[in-house]
Amino acid sequence: MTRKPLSALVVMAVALVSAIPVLAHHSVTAEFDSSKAFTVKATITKIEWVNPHTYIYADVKDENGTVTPYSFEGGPPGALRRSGVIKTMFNVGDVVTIEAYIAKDGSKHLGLLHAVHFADGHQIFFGRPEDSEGKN
Amino acid sequence: MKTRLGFYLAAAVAAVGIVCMASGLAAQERGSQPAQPAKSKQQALPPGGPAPRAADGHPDLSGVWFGGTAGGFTYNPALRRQFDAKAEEPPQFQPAAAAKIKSMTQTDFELGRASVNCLPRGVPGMFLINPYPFQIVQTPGLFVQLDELNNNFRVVHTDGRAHNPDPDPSFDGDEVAHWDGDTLVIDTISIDERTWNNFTGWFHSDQEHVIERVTRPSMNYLNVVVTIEDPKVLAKPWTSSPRVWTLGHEDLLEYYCTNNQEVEQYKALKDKESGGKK
Repeated sequence: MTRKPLSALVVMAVALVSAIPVLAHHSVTAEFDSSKAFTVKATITKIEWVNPHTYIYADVKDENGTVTPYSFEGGPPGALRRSGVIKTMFNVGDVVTIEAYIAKDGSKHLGLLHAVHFADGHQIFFGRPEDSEGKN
Repeated sequence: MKTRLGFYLAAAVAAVGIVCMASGLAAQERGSQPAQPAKSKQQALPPGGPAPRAADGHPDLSGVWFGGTAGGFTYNPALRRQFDAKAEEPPQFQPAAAAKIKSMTQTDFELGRASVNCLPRGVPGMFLINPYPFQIVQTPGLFVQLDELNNNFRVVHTDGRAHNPDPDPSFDGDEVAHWDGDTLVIDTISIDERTWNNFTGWFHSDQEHVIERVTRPSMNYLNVVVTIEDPKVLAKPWTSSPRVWTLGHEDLLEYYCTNNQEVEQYKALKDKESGGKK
């Protein structure tokens, strides 16, 4: 077999992986680009604080009132706890501004959590993909 | 419990900045540079005095150990680093092994990652590719390693006994150990061939022989030097730089690699790459 261009394969790989973001476990560095973030104002709809990855789900409403559900992935609960991030810091219904790293496949409704900014000004950081599993 | 809660609250205060910048974020566009948390003032742990001794006179390796020099979680990559990769000689492979690794695609690498396929790190992966802490419990004649990662554990006799003459392959292999001065030398054979020694294709054979040299040079530091012999795969034995772990003051938590459907996705992708040929 000849060696294929890595970039094309990575795109193919994350395209498949991103189709099942909720149940998949993977190397986050393969799926997300830690050099680029996006920001949305959203209302938290669901919180999953489970191994191997946490998830915060949130609805984003555009100027026309159209609501789009987003999925935001975080690190494992233990690593987050050690960094001072625990589940009770978030509540369903919270209206927050979320910064997340973009998915490499271009999916616009999926991100790796970088920071959650609350209305009262406090913010919670989640670290970068390389802080997580497998970059050792 | 109060102590742990206090630790977490202190950590939370450190991590959760009270900075009013949310209002400016809405203007950021997709692909923007992310905001950064305040720089941590964490520093590498000091040596902490001499290593403790067990009742039998050997260094006591017991403790909860975190990779890097912070003795716990850190955002600081310099403190998280366990060794200087540039200073370490890369493994030199036999021609056939080198050719096999060269033929691997990024998908192969993903399929081989323990963080994707959820296989145990095993020996020597638990020291070479394990970003999670572990606990060592040492008793006279026993070295017990409890890994946070997948709640794996291993129990190694340190009395210098010989290998099982007919061991079954296993992820941790057939392990025996002895003390060489203040160094615990763990000798392992019969390692399950499904594990890799890194994330970029370093597979191994049934002839792999791993020697782990574990020292506690001071109270706060644990060093591990790994030597790998594998005549079917390596052109010559490989020895790692010392991997540095530091003493934490908290209990292990639970981490499991679960719900792994991704491996099936990668396998499907692999099938596509090979045009349906196996």
